[in-house]
Amino acid sequence: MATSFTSNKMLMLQNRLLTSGDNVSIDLYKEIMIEYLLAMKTFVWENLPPQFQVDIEFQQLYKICGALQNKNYSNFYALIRDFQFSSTMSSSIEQLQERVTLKNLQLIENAYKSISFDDIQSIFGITSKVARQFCEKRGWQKDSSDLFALPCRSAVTVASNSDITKLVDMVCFSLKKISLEVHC
Amino acid sequence: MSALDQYVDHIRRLSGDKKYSELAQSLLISNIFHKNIQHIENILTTFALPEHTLCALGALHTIARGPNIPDFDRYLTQMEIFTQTCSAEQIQYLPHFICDICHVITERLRQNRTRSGIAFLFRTIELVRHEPGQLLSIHSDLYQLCLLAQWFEPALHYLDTDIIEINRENGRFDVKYLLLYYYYGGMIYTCVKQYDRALNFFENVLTVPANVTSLIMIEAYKKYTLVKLIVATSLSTTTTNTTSSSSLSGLPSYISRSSVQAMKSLCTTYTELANLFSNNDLQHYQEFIHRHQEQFQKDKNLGLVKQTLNSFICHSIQQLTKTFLTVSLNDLAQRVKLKSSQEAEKYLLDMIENGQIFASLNKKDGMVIFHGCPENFDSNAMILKLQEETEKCMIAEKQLRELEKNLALSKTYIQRVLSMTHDRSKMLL
Repeated sequence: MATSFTSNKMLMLQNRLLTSGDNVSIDLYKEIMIEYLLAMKTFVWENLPPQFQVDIEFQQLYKICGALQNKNYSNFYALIRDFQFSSTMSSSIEQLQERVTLKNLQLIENAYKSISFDDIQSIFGITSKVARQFCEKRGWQKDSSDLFALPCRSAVTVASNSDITKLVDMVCFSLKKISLEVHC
Repeated sequence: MSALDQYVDHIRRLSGDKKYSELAQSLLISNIFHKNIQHIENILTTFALPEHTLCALGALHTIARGPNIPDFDRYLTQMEIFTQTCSAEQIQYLPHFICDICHVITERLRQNRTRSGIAFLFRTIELVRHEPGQLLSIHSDLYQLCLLAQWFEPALHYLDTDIIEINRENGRFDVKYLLLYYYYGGMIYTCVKQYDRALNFFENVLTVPANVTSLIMIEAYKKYTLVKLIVATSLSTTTTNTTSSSSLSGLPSYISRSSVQAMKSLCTTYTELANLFSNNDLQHYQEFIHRHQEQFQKDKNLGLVKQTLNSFICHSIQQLTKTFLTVSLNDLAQRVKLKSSQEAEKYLLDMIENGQIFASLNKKDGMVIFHGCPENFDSNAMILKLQEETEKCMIAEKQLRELEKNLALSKTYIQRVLSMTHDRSKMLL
């Protein structure tokens, strides 16, 4: 069976879009676009009514979308830094930036045994200074030359015995129920 | 009093007396509305909603099935008001009327006004279906408009629920709508990059029992082949690729023989592409795509074909993990025929992020270390996953039992079993 990848907020926004008919506001589209970006999905620019495509903030959002799709993180951070978003959008943009940074840090931890601070800047768009700060915060080591970070993976939680017991009980109970029904 | 007035009085009386079965029968067999189509608009205004829903539906159906709809925008508005104010109970007596109307509206809107139809079809499906897992012919109309408008959320709302029943629509439901449901559904899932689900849907099109192969099956086979190549590298943690065939171009063994032969003979380019994918020769693969670019473009599959190129490289990298524990980035780039070690690093990062391989990059030495799967299936997340999957299996098992029970109690099945038993006992004598 499929699992839905749509958040509750996205469902609510889509419902509003369905019921608005032809009177859709630009703010609704902006909210939808931000939700798409936060969920790391693609927003189809061609779907937007032409009168909204001229909005400067929307065009900036679309460029951010493009930078994320192409994994051009230097451009992503630059586009956010160099534009003054409206008060309604700025908190969502901040959230997006944090989410992307966290995702990339987790990827660095998963994928690299050692990586230079220059590479962190060129691949992930995180400046050397900020990368060194993350290094300390996340407990990464540095090599003797101070040019390479040695990321360490975050700990994986292990199931407790009680969780496993609960699951075994549930499966056994269900199997017993099914076999009783078969006999009846 | 004219025949039309008499008929209108008759159906209004039946509607007022709540004799909906008789009313539905009358609307089905009578052609008075068709003969007086020029007066339909005036008659329609006399049927108040929701009391006379069936009468209004009959009139609206007549307009839709006429040679042309005089004022389509007005008709669309009338239908929107109808779906918002009608009685869902009465609609169930003539579901195929409203489905026919939806087909006509979809045909008119698909050229340049696809978004307008999506909300209307969405509401109509909610009106007509009995339960979430029931299939209507309108579903394929909705998916078609969603694909044309590139707006997938309304379709995903229905696609994410598995179908367990088909609304016969007074015997008018055609297998074409079932095929289109899964075909368009597969296309939508491909667009949102849920490839496992897309593959499942295309496979459903191919495995419909058939003596003759339809064009829908041929197109589904082409996309099935391409999507299968795209997911060739995915290590899904939920389900593995459920197709029973071991080769990349293989089809499930329970597809009808005539369909297999038709697909293989009409889609040789795609089958050859799948065979080249397994050969691990990037240059030949690229040359083949370039040679047949026009055909892929004509089939509107060029985008998917280009994605298989990316998948080819990832597949080649994955093959290396079976041979090497460590390899240098430069060596990896050369073996996979990439331009540079930076490009190789980019592919590796993507694959590590997507869980396609488990590896660490040591940029200091320029080396890549391949690991085994670190999943020991003992984390909290895995326990929850196991619990979810078990619950899904239990729900599916319960649904199957219900279907089996309904089948065993159906008149057709009992008659067939009795006649088989009777034939067998005759033979023994």
